[in-house]
Parts: sequence; structure tokens; C-alpha cells
Amino acid sequence: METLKKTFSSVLGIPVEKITPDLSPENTPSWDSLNAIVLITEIEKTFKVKFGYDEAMAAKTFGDVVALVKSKSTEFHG
Amino acid sequence: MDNECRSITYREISVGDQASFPIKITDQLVDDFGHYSGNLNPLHMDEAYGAKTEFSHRIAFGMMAGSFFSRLLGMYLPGEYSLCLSQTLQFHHPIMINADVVVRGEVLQKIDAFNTILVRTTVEDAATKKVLVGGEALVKVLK
Repeated sequence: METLKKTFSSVLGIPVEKITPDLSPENTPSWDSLNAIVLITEIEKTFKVKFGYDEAMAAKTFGDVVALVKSKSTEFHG
Repeated sequence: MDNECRSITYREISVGDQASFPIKITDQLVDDFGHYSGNLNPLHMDEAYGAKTEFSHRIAFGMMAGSFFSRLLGMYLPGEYSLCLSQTLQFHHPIMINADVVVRGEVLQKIDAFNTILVRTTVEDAATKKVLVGGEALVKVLK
């Protein structure tokens, strides 16, 4: 969880303590279409997972991303 | 590497794929870039000024590397179907006039969800292999 928060913090340019489960593109201006791709790129690299298009598009919030990574990665400790 | 635009699709790309081409950094190239960009800073445009600096000569614009990476991605890796989303640049060492350099790209990662590739991009000194400018590009592959 902390690694994922740090990834979001680094890519989106917001403090780790502001990364909450309901964080989304709607309430985070820096979570734009480019940074959505950068986030997936960083998460796939860090957790050694691969996402399909539908999975990536279904993740609407940070909480969704946590659940998705948790379901895919053996390296996720949350 | 020739001037023909390659047409590599996302499926045809593998992690580790590379492309490269050589360039000689001529006075003309640097002058053209200065006039095109409007950056007429004397460190790059005035040899007499450059001679008095720590570099002993005027030096090429670091941002010229960005234009070389544009060619790398748009012509060769992957070529026709590329849409550049981002490009980082780190200027490690100055590029001197008359230097022979090699512009190189290597696919580091494929992001299947978005048909996007992460490419390490470098401008290296042809003789010493020292990386003068480095960076990474995110490129969406449109087909």
C-alpha cells in the first residue's frame, strides 16, 4: 500500500497523506489521461503485473487500483 | 539507418528492441536550430563567446537531442504509428560542435492496456560511448 501511495504521490505530484481511497481523476486535476498511462506504467514495473485495457479503465479511484493490484500481485503487501 | 519511415505495429514490438542512427553535429545544424527555435544564446551561437567559457568553444543546444529523439521515434521505433506522449531529457555532458554522436532507443517496457511503449533514449558520443543526453519516452503505438 505504501509503495502504491508513493507511486501516486510521485506521478501526480501530491503529498502521500493526500492519497486516500476516494482519490480519482474527478477530484485530482493532475490525474489526467497522460498520467493515467504513466501510473499504469509505473505500477506494472513496480509490482511486475500486467493489466488489460478493460481492467485499467475500470479502476476509477485509488481504492480501485489498490484492489486491482492486490488481486494480481504477489508482491503487494497492503 | 535510412530516411524511410518504418511501420512497426505494437504486436511486432518486443522489450529490448533497439534502433539507432549516427549524426555529425555540424555548425550548420547548430545554427539552423538556433534560428529555428529563436534561441540565439551566444554560448551556442557565437564561437568567440564560447572560446572564453569553460567549454573553450560554443556548444550545441541540448534540446537538439529532443529533435533527434523525435526522428528516432517517429521514423524508426516504432515509426509511422508512433504518437509521442512524453519525453524526459537529462543533459549529462555538453555536445560539442563536430562531434560524431549516435542516437539510440531501446524498448524498456510494453504497457498493453494502452498500446504504449516506454523507450530509453540516448545520445552517445560515437567514439567513447559516453551518454551525453539521456531520457525516456512514452509512445503510444496507434496500430
